[in-house]
Amino acid sequence: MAMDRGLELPQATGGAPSNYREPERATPGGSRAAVGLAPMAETQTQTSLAWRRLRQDSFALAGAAIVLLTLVLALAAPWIAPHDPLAQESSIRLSPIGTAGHLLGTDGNGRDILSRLIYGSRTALLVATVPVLVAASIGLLAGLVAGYRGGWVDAVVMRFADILFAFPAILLAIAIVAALGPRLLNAMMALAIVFVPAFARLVRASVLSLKQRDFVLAAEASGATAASIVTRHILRNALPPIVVFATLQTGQMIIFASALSFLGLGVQPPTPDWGSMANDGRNSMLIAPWVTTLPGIAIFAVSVGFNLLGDGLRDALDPTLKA
Amino acid sequence: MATYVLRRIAGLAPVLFGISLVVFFLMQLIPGDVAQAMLGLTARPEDVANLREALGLNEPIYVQYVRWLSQVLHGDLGISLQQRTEVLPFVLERFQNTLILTAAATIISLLIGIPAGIVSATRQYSLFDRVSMLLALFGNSMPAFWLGLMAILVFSLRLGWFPTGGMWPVVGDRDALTLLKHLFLPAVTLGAASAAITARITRSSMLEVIRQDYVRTARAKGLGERSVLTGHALKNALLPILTVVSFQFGFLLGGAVLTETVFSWPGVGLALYNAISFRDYPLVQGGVLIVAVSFVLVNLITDLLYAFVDPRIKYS
Repeated sequence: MAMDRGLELPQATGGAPSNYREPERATPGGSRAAVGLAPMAETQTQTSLAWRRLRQDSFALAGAAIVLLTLVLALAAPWIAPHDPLAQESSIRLSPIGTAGHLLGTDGNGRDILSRLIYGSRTALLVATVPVLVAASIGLLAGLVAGYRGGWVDAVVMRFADILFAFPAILLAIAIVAALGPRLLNAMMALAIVFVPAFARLVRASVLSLKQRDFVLAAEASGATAASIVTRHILRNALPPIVVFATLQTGQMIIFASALSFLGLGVQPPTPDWGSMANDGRNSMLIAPWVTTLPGIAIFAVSVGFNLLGDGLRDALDPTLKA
Repeated sequence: MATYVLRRIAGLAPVLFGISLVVFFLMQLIPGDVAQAMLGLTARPEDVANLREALGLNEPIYVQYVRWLSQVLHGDLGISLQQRTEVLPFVLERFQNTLILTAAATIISLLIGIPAGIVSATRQYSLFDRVSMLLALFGNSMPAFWLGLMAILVFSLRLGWFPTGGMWPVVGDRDALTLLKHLFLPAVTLGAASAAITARITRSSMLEVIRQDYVRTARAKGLGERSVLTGHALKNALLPILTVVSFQFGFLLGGAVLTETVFSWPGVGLALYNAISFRDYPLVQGGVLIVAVSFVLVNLITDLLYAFVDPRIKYS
């Protein structure tokens, strides 16, 4: 393995101006895994340090609170939703916010908006987290193999990622769902596919920098197998940036998934979903703006929550990145 | 430099080939019989059989691909079922409108994002910095389709300042001012998230550069703050920003599908949206292909620009 590592090293720039000095930059993941061996005790200290930094970050805590609240709403929906989210009552269509019995009003079919928002958190979380987890897992595997093995495996994986990257993500997702047929499962599959290359590239970049580190070289010299080096030394150090990226991507995924539903390509009616709820209210926007406004606020809030948490995690896990 | 340009252009071939494979096989994902899917379940069996024959669906898949690719290379993307016209000229015409929208959104995102990022970086942790970074976070967390609907609600329906959609009025003059009026809300909607990302990248890029030795030297030798910032810091901070801008272009092209749908902007995105609900697969294929190819070309141009602007990049 050590042989082909040379290929991955940045090539010396022969004709660089002699007075040019490479700027010192804080490489992602640079300082975290300190030079030398990465013994267990140090990792624990790093984790507890990160945890302490996270707890002192009020923005990150606010983000975590939003995410947690959404999770509670999703899990407890049947108990806290005041009405059946599918129950239609034509006599109370488009009731405004504050109507007795319908705190956030009703939609064009006379369905209780608050109940639909509460139930909608289930699809929102499902559709935001599952594709990210799937994409992260596949990307992790592909990036680890490509980065560590190098050679043709790397070339194949990365060309594949390049090709998927050539499509604007949402457009590719739309095209995939258009072909497979508009269904929640298809939307989730499409979203997972389009997010794989970003994860694969991120992991590969971390692996390439990690495998030149002294502690990996030491493990190789001591005769550790490739599998043990990857799982025990590389994976552990490559994981923090992936966790950060996955959290931030979840914030984006909420928006992507709701966009697919808004276009009628994701969650199908009558299942409560924030994206399709926003679409439902489009035609009555002038007389009943709340039907469209409220689901959008929900999408926005949860996305902000994941973004705040992701930013906080990044700052906590890698303080060198904090500007 | 010339070799680098040529090599970079040659490197496009496998990516373009890959794009063609993806676009072609996307349509293979359609469950069941494509001809049936296009014509609907109520179609007569002989019509379905005729369409199968016309589309060449009875032949082996690789034959279908090779024939499709050769047609594409000859500029033949098939006939749109919905528009009853050739796909390529139709998509290209719509693509111009998408480019107008995307370019306007890019300009808006740069005009807001870069100054906000620079001021935030030079006054790190100031009130301006905190507020603009919070706004950037909000911009990045806002679904564009919803932002568009809210803009229509407030500025078109309530205040009546802007039209609710379209590119031109049904009747009336087609002058620049009318276009700008129609363009404003969709461009702001599309550019908002992009402005947020640009602001964040500009800020962190500037912060990194400001700490470099040559900036300290420039300050130490008594240069004014403005000259240090524009002459030394910004020049070097612009490179990562350039990359982001090209990346944003793809993001904006994708976002255009949503924005165009909300604002009925007659671009390629709206055409795609209508084509999907109409099961107009040749148009879906053609639209996706054109957008992907243009995205790749923009990335190529950025790479070349990047190499041109940054002498540190070697073309060996």
